[in-house]
Amino acid sequence: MDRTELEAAITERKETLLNVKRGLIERLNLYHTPEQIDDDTPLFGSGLKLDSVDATELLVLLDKKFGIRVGEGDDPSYMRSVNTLTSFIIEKKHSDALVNSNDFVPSVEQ
Amino acid sequence: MSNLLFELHQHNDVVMTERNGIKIPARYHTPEKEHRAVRQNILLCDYSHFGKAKISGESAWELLNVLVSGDVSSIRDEQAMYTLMLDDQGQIITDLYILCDEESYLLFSEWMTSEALCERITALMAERVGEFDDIEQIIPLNDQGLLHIEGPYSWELLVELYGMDIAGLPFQEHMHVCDELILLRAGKHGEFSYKLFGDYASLADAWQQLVEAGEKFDLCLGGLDYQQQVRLENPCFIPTPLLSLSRCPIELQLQWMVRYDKDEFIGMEALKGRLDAGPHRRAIGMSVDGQPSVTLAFGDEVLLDEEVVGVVIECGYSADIDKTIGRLFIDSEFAWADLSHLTARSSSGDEIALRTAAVPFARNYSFLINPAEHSYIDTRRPRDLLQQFEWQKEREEQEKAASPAAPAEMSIQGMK
Repeated sequence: MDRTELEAAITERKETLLNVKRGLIERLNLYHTPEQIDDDTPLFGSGLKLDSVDATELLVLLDKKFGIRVGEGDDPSYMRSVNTLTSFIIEKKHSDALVNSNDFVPSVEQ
Repeated sequence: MSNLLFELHQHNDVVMTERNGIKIPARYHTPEKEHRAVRQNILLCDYSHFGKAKISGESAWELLNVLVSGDVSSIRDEQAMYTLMLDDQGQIITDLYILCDEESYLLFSEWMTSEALCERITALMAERVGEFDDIEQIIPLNDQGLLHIEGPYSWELLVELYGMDIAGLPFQEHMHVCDELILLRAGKHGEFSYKLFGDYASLADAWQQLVEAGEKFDLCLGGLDYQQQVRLENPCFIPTPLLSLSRCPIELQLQWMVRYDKDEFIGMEALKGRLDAGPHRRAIGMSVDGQPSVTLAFGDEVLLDEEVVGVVIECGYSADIDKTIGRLFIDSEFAWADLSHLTARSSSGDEIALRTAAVPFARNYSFLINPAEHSYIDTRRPRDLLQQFEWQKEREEQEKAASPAAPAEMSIQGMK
């Protein structure tokens, strides 16, 4: 990762984290501002103290705000903290972008 | 200091250590064995080094609400909270549990003595004369101890000793068991975790019962040394070595224990000011694949293109995930997870490339356990979610093999 890539990665992470925090605050009616939620804040148990109903809200948040449908094969550990949720979204975004870019590459058969 | 629990450890000829001025076991076995028990079975430890205090009276919750950063009004009888005690500058003094128990509150602190807890509360009362009139008592509980039962099947052992209610005990709630003892469900390492509080004689009895009943769960006795590894994998507030770098909840990513929407608490204004200004440096996880030959330690420099941007807080190897993991304290500009541009320089001058990471690192086994469905000892029930899926798959395959004919074939036959 060179310096330009590093800066791009930081920008992407900051923007996604902010969107995740805003999404959590709006959807789960949290009493925090984004600045008051640390990136490593646990989502369940301690931290934001979400419960099983909130877990469903998280799935809706991923779908509505980020266009991500969670599959059975997805490792559920992305739900551990704000940061792991953000990493999951960024990874999905990148893998979807890769799939979509491959869709537009004409195959030999075409 | 001597009590029945201490005598029991002495009788077992255990390596002892001292925390908060209290002598407790450092280890019963190797730290590796005790760490494995926490992650796979059950570990039983003496946590009597915790400072313990009781405060009662109508004004107790108001007094505590000024003392800590969490909202004490949010907990009811049999509930508990995990919070921070800050100084006037908004710097962490200690973390602590507050239990709302009938007409009083119990305070457990890992890093303060019982007397220091009481002194702090009494000093606050003296500063704010007339504000908290109805306080009945503030007393240190030095004649009582704490046992710590931790691991993915600790709930099942406790169900056997204290009844089915334990299986449904929510996180950070407590209940009275056997009249003399209080059982709190709370822990810092990501596994099922309970604390048993009571007088030393009752705890010594409980220790023996837990050991006996725990045999079939492969329960392991432990000291405090195992904490080094579990806390590397599941970082939490530890004063040493953090204190020399920062005691700020914002820099240490501990704001989740702060309720800024409260009327007031000690350190609130200073903390809000620092939040507005933004932290200069922040703690962030780090990882390196495998176990490289370079060993990093507290204070080693973190570099970005040869420029020093921070230091290593802690570092060590986790066999469970086959990674070298730890935490860094680096310039906020670069304190974001999943970046791979930083290096760390060891004291011997060797450099190693690392990746910033989200914490915690451990994929706690307890996440795969549901007390309503799984069991360590009942062979009719699956041990965990993975085995449950395996059994389900096997059942489906068996049912498929036992079915008389494929549906498509049957319908064709029916048409004939």
